[in-house]
Amino acid sequence: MTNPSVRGVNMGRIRSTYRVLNMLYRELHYRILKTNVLIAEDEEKMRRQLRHSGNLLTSVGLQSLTYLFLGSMMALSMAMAKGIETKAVLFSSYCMFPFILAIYTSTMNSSYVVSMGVFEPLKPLPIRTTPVYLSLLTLIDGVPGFMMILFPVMYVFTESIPSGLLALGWGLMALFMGHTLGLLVYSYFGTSVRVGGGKLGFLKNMGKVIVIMVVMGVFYVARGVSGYVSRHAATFASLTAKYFVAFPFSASTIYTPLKSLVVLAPYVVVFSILYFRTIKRLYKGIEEPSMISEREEGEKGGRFHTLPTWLAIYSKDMKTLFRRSQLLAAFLLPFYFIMPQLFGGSFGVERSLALILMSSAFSILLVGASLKLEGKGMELMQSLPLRKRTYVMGKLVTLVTFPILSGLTVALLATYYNGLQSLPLVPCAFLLPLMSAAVAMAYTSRMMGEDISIPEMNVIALLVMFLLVSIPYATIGISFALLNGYVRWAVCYSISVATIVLGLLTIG
Amino acid sequence: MITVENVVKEYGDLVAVDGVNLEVRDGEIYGLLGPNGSGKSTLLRMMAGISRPTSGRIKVNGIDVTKDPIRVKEITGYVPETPTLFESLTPVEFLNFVASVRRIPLEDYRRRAKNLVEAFELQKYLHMMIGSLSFGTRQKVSIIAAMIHDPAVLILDESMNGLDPKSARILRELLVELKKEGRSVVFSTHVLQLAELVCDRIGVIYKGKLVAEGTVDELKRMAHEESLEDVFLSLTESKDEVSSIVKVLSETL
Repeated sequence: MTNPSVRGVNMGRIRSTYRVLNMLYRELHYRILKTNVLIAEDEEKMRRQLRHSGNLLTSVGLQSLTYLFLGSMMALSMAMAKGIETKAVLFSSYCMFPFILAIYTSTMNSSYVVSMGVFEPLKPLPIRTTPVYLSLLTLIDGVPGFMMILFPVMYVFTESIPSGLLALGWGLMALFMGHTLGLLVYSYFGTSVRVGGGKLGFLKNMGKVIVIMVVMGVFYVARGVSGYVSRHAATFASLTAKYFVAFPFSASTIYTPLKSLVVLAPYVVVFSILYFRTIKRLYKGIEEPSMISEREEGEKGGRFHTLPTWLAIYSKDMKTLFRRSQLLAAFLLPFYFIMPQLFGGSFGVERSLALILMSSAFSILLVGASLKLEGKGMELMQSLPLRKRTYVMGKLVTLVTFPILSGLTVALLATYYNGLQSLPLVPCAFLLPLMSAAVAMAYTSRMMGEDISIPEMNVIALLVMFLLVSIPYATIGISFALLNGYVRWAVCYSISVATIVLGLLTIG
Repeated sequence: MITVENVVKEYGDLVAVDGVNLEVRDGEIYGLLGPNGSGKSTLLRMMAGISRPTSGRIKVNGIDVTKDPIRVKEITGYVPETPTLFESLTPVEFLNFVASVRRIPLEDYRRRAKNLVEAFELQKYLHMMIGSLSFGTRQKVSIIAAMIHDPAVLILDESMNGLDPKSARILRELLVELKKEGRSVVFSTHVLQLAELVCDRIGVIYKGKLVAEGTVDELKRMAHEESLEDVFLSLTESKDEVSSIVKVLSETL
């Protein structure tokens, strides 16, 4: 029988660990929110956001529910799959989700915990800030990713209890491996986060974009993966049979329990050792931060350069966006809308044009975000000899970058699949976002008053902008319904160019 | 030269600056003293063309800040109280941005940037994110950004805050050099010794009004006080308050 006093002490320790963890979690998310200029300036918005994302149970619980829903669809795909081999391959592919999410959340959270000094207030206090807090704090946001494979695991349980246990084991292992690798990546490369530019910086930013896209489009990706794996079951089965030792193929061994156990055991041992070494290294870095790499400016001072004003504004905005993932996620929204098409949709001309129009409309939704990129730096912008027109033009380019890229993706895919008849979509990918942005920025510059500022982008302002843009949109739509051949494209281009010119002339 | 004529700045019911008249001459360092919330920063922001007076007129080198704020900003360098920089940029990227917006010829920019960066010993921080720099280092970036275009008028709002003694000394000497070249410098500070050391004339602002103006000696004579600190406390009605607070605290502790 357990000694009640020992049990009491343990419960007390768990409670106090939870209390400290919850407090650290709230602090971490508060500091993350503070870096988001889209939220930090609005106290009410900040409080509202913090109520959700700053509460450990609410935040993790809500995310877990979403992922559980996705997991139920995955389990359904497994149930409908023919043959045990396909089911095993499907399960191993699903294990990639908690793995990738854990890498992402562990790397990102470690980076925030260290750079934002979340542990700093605890240092002078007589409290044991053990590495356990660090590990839990960086892992906690990855837990919902594990929830995604809970239903598939339960499905495996219904078929065989040993296989179910192994499925659970591989699922947990995927989470643990992702977490360990995330910590490892940060502890070795994390300090270079502070150094800007360079090829490594570019690659890192691109990596971030891809992970954000995967996280945002997890629904489509999950659906796409299920479909793709089912269609190519035979190929995957031979691959998994050949490389069953390597993760994620190793997870497909769940239906041969002994083999699976033998493969799983070394993973547990190796990653446990790696985990303890990494967490120790990372915690040491927090206790006694080492000097970060410093590069001295070369004698020639070659890095000092100037750009045309609008390009300087654009360049600044892009750097800010790519270095702040919360902001980037908002700007990647147009891609989110074209994802269904990328994952197996049709590429008909009308449908593709509609998608380009939709992603162009994001230029309007992103107006507020692009202006708020300045954040507290707005005072600096106001102190510079910057004309409103130049500023707005710079912002316009920022605004259209992502809608143009997403539209161009659709147009090029449509051309690839449909041939030359879809080629006229390519100019549309440039013209339509420019048209929306020109109208939106013309209206915004009117709202600004005499000087550059961040006008209040309320619902009415957005509605007015949508109404203004809907006029050329509707005209293009009608021309497509009534006309045929190249004439309708000519009408589309003419309307777009005329609206862009009108919008640009009105700015300032 | 900066001329401020009957300037009033209201924020709703709050009168931040209340009918201020002053003049900062060419080749002069003018110090603006006042307690927190007295209206110093508001006045300096208006001089820099960032915000407009509700009424009255401010001219910088003859240019009206209300009529042509862009022209005023072209010839002015402004350092805010708290460095407002783009934290996700590195100092070199930030300076490139400012130089681009100010359209400084590349060679001039490179030469000035190199000299200023070396003077403030910023070389090793040039490629680090501004967000990861200390307050003092950010302040240095902000000061360099304000001086990079060789401004005719320099406006500094408590800019010595956070600077290490060496950098503070360099900035101080730099201000004196700018003065010798005939430029106007106006700065606010809470460090009275600094004001006494550097400023040709001092203005004391209290509750939005300019309550006194003159050289340090003139102010001392005017307020019948021995030191600038006593002058300041006397003019801002804080002298008796300080004594009573200290008395209460000493009894409490």
